[in-house]
Parts: sequence; C-alpha cells; structure tokens
Amino acid sequence: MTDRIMDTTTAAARHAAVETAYGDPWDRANPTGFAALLDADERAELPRAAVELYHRLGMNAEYVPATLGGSLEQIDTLGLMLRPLFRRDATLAVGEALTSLMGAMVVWLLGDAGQQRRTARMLLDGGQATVAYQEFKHGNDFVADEFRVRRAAGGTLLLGGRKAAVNNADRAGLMLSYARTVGPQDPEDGYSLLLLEPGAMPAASCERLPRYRTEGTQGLQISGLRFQDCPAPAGALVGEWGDGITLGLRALQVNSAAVPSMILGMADTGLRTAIRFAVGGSVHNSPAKLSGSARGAIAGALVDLLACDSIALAATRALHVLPEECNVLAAAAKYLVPKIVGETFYRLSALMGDAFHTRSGEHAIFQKHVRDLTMVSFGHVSSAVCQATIAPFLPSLLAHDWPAELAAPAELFRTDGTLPPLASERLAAFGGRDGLIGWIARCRQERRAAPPGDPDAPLLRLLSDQLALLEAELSAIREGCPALDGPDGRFVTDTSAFPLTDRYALLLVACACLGVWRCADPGSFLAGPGWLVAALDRLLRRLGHAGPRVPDAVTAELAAEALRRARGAVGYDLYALELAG
Amino acid sequence: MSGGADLVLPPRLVTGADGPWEPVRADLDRHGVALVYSRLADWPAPPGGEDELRRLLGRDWARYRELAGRPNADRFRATRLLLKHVAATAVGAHPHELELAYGLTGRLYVRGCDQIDLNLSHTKDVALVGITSLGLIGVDLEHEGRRVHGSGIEPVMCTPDELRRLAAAPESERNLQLLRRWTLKEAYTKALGQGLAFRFSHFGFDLPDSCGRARLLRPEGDPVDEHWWTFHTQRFADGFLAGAAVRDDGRGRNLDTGLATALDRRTVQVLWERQSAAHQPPGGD
Repeated sequence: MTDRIMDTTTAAARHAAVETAYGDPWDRANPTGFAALLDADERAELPRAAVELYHRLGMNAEYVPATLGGSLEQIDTLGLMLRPLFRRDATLAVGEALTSLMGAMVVWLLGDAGQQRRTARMLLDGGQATVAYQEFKHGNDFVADEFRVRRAAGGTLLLGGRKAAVNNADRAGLMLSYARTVGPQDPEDGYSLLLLEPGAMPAASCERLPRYRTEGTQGLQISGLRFQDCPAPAGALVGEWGDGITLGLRALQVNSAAVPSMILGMADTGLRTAIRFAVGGSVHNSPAKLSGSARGAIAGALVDLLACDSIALAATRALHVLPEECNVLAAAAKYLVPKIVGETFYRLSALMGDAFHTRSGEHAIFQKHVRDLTMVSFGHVSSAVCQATIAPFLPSLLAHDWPAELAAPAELFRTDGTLPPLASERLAAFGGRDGLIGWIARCRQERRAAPPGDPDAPLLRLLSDQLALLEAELSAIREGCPALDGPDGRFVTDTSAFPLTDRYALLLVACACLGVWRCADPGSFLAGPGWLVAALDRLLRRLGHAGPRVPDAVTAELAAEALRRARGAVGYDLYALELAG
Repeated sequence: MSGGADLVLPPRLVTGADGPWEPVRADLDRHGVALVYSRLADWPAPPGGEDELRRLLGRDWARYRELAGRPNADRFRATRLLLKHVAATAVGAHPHELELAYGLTGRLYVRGCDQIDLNLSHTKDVALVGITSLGLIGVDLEHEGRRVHGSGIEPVMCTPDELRRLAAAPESERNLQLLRRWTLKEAYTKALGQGLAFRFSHFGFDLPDSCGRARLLRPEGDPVDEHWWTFHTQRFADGFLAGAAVRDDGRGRNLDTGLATALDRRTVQVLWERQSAAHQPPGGD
C-alpha cells in the first residue's frame, strides 16, 4: 500500500500531508508519536513504524530532483518538508533522509547522467545512499579516518583505507565517498569523489566493521568499512579525478544551507514542549500563570527561531537566486543555527526544571532532542569547515562598500514564489558577496517616520538605534580585516580570523531578519516591528552590544504569540503552517 | 565513550602569565579536561602599561574601564587575563588574539573557537577555570570555611531527597555536604548557561562519602540516566572546594584543539584562490 505524497503539488500541501500522516506526536497511542520514538531510542533501534510510514509516503522523492522523477525543485522547501521528521525524531530524519540526501546531492550537482539516473532510481525505489567524508585534522570519529584510491591498469580503481563511522554503511545501496588519491602520479592532498556500491564489493577486500554507538541519535545504524585493494569500476568516479575537494564544496554549500532549515523542526518541539510544561500540561490553560522569567524565555525562544529561519530561508533561496555568491551565507547559517538552537534548548531547560531530566512521559522528548542536536549539528568539525569558508571572504569586506543598492534581492526573504533551478556550474564560483549586509544601509536609508499616534513609533525609533549599532559592528569587523589580507593560505594560521567569522555570521543573521521584515506582507505578524527588535536585541547582545531595552509589552506580546501558536498547533517558524499537534 | 571526563583531575596552580602551562596542556591532551587555579594577586596589570593591558583585554577593555576605581576592577582584570591565558594555552594562540564573549545569560565562551569550552569561578582571592575539548564544562569554587548550614538556605537549594540525606548526616558534616552540593549545582547550571535561573531544588546529587564523583538525581532521589555528564568535587590548596560538571558529547575525542589546524587547509586554499581571482584591483591600482 502506498500513501505517496509526491503528486501533491505545493510544498505546503505536502507538508500538511506529512504532518497528518504522522499525526499528533503527543498522542501516546500514536505508533509514530513521541512515546514510540523514545522507546525505539531507548533500545538504540530505528523507529520501525515511523520508518515504514516514511517510505509509504515516498518521502525519498523529496530530495530527488523533479527532472529525475522526484519532487525536489527548491532547497528552501526541502528544508521545510523535512521539519516534520526532525520535529519528531532526529534518528528518523537523519537515518532515512538526511544521510541519503547528503550523498545524493553530490550526484545531482556533479554526477553524469547515468550516475544521476541510477541514484534517482534507487532512492525512488526506497533505497538509501550514504556519504563517507575525508579526514579532518580536527575531526570527530566520523572524519577521523578516510578511504584511499589509486588507478590500476585498465582503468579499474583500487580502494584502500578504512572509515569507522559511516551512517547506514550496512544498508546503503550507494555510498558517495571522498577518497585520497594515492597513485604515483597523484599530487599530495588530492581527493576524488566516488559513487560506490557497498553491497557489490567483494567480501574478501571489503571488510565490514562493527556497529559504532553514539550518545545522541542512538538508533542510527552506524558502522565502518575497511578496503584492502578493493576493486571498483572506473565509472564510479564522480567529476574529475583528483578534484574532489573543490567539487565537494559545491555540494557542501547546498547541504550547509539545507540542514539549518531542517533542524528548526527540533527547536519547534523544544519550545512546544517547554510551553506545554509551563502552562501545566495543556496549552489551553491560561497563560496568565506564566512568570515573567518564563515569558521572557518563551518570547526569546520564539524570536530566536524566527531569526534562525530567516537566515535559513535566505541561505537556501540564495542557492537559486545568487548561486555565484551564496557559499558564505550557507556557511554562516550552518555555523550559527545549531548554536542558537542549542542555546534556546538550555534557556528553556531552566524553565522546565525537573522535567528537563525526565526520560519518560510527555516532556521526555525535550531531553532527547538536546542530546540528538549535538550529533546532528556535528559540533566543532562542522563549525571549522564553515569558518574555513567565511574566513577567506573577510578581506573582500574591505574591498567593497555595502550601500543599499547592493542589498540582496527581496526574493531571498519570501516564503513564496518560484525560484530558478539549481545551476551546478554557477555554484562553483564561491563568491560570498551575497549582499545581505547591504540591508543595514538599506533599512537606515529607507527609515520611515511613523505617522503621529502610530503605536509602532517607539519600536521604530528603537530599531533605528539598533541599526546604528549594527553599522558600528560592521565597521569594527572591517577594521579587524586588514590583518587577514595576506598570501595564500595565511588564514589557516591567522588566529584573528576566528572571532571575526563568528561576528560576521551574527551580522548576517541580523540582516536576514531585516530582509524578512521589510519583505513581509503588510499587516502580517512578520511585518510588525515587535519580533524584529526582539530578535535584533538578542543578536546585538551576542555581539557584545547592550542595545536599547526592548519594552516588556513587546516581550509579553511575543510570549502570547508563542502560546497562540501552541494552542493552534502552528509552527514556530516563518511559514507558520498548521501542525498535527 | 571516552573516559576523559571520568577522571577527577587536580586543579593546576598557575602563578601568572608564565604558568606553568605544561601540566594544563598535558591534562587537556590526555583527558580533554583541565582545571586551573590562580591567586588574583598573581595577575597584576602587565608591565607594558595601559596599551598592553588594552591589547590583552580586547573587547573587555571597555568593561574594565567602566569598573575603574572600584574594588572589583582588579578582580575583573585578573580573571580575564587568567581566562585568556588558559584559552590561549588550549588553542595554541596568543592571549590577545582571542576574544572572550558572553552569551545571553552571561555564559563565557571563546568567540569563534568552539573546539573548547571554559568556565570561571572565584572566591576570596582565588580563581578557578575549567576548560574542556569534550563538550561543555561548568565549575564552582567555594571555601570550606563558608557557613551555609543553618542559614535557612537548605529548602531553596536542596531537593526533598537531599534534605532527607542531610538530616541523616552527622551534624559536623552537614555544612561541608551542603557546600559540596552547592558547588555541583552551580557547576552544572553554569555549564548549561543558566546559573540560578535553573532552580536548585529541582535536581540533586548523590555524593560519595568524601570528595570525588557524584551522580545526578531527580528531586525524589531517582537517578537521572545521564551518562554523558560527569560531576565531581574535590578539595585543594588551603581549604578550597571545587565542583565541576563536564558534558562529553561523545563524538570521539578531538585532541587537536589548536587554531593553527582548525581551518581545513585544502578548503581554504580552494576558496582563497577564487577570492583572489575575484578581487584583482581594477586597473591595477
């Protein structure tokens, strides 16, 4: 039996279909609800019913391009489509969707027509792909080792090396692998991308290593592979021989932009759980019983999630709209969104008290998401890759002014409208000049005087002060940049780049908020200044600026909005779509 | 899971910019965690004068200037210099190159360097810094001479289970037991970035008879199944009591915390070449 959703045309309709199919996650009798998902996690197993439903819905199609028979047209809506999975269980989302997607994205962007058809067919038949990255100096166990490859006579590839931790290594039909090229003619530090079939490897030269256990997302089926002169067909090569790092960066920026959008699903559940706890089990209870501290935590969490979604939206849409310039924005989103979501979880933990520690009952999903987030975000190794993308761009901040005319186009900040398809070649430019930063100048220039008696007037004045602080921060970052301008590769050892990458990323989030606010439909919640000034206040404080105080009434109204969205089962994101519970 | 956080490591004494830093570096390399303590008087204004202090404090300079003339200005200077030197030791940088930053709840971190986490506590003339490459860390420092038992604070800082345990303990041990609970609760909630916002009566600890490893408990005494956190207390120097909470994220040990190797050279090379090509000055000027 199939309940495939891919024939439903709009992402919003497909999102609704997924939510409806998975049902109210808090319903203890729901076989795909939190109780069942927590139970599977305790047993370190994949959640069987949720996985089966995933395949009945044909959700692999969400990340197979429409041109190859799937539903994928835009990365912004791909992020949205996977939120229902991440809301419920990161093991389900990573195990069934994200791992496959990360491997397959390389094939969509760089593979030949045959490789693309083969990958699409396997995924649309319900199969899995996976990815095996190269070794990084600052690696965790997933990137602490790597495969090697050399070319033998007749064009056959010979594989060596091992990786101890590859997700779904046992069941993936295809494995996209980074392999260090180690032939006598190969330059040092060259890599090739290979599309391998682990199931077709000869057992004598492909050893299966034992299951690898993790603290978070315990149900993931992670294990290792060791090759010893293992043959692979010449046709396994994706793109040019030895060019794997450059090629891989093209797919990396797509995955980096998409992941933050997805994990907002986890944050949604975190805030929803904390609110359910704070109002005493039922979201229909009166919000009046909330303490001032609880209101502050809830309002803060809501605007942080909206800020995160703002940069996630801009980063995913920039892949389509500004393909030559989107890499820094994608890296900034991937760098900051997991950090802000993690901070949100811990701020809400104080609100939950003892319920933060519970491993059973309706609040237990909170603790599970906290643990799983550290796995999903990939921690420091991911941050370092993002920073390696942002740092080389910083000197060019000095080379340009960022006037309003250069501000990124409004298309980046809308949740509607059709975007151009991904253009792989154009994504290879790695320009980084996304123009988000121009939104500071644009909002300062287009400052509107509020009409007399406008209740928003005090907030618009406050916003004006905040814009001046953002401008000052941009100047401070630019002052720090000259030290970075040096010969090739100097960033690798120039330690002053590290704080600047963090500051620039925070500034981009602020700009994404400005863009979303200015481009929102007039009269909508997002077009009002309340969420914006609260979000900017938190970003400025993270940057070390004590901005003007946000009025208590704004905090109270934002907390009320969060409670309304809890009661109506509406998402804590820019889309504000209806959820199943 | 790695065993680094399982160990109860002694705090290492440093007496100024010259450390000694080798034991700190060795603890981090071997276990992923180090505790460091110092006398505040060991961190006077540096000999290079105001310019040097300003360079060392970086973005904290403004806050230091605001405190000028107040008694806590010296403490602020000393603790920031200590923190920066500890962090610099961990990442192999110069202290002035690093930026100490503060989260929304005031939680300290080293901006842009998430391979390490650190935490600070001070009491009397001593400061304690915990640093880890495993995940999160919180520390608290108290002096054993501090009287808390009988102050009326017990119901606020203890769970019902802890109150029962306290009542069952000999009178002579109750103050120290309370202090140990206090340091652990401070350390844990500081690691979470929440401090006193997380109510101390909502979680408790099962303490060993003497200092050492402790277990996290729920209010009625059920253990929290939380093996990625470790908690311990220990006595050191002249009657000081340290509490530490460490979260090991369990993705394997990243023993290389150096900034020099943090950015993947191959990635930077590719991107730098593109940037250089895109930014040739027009007309060669």
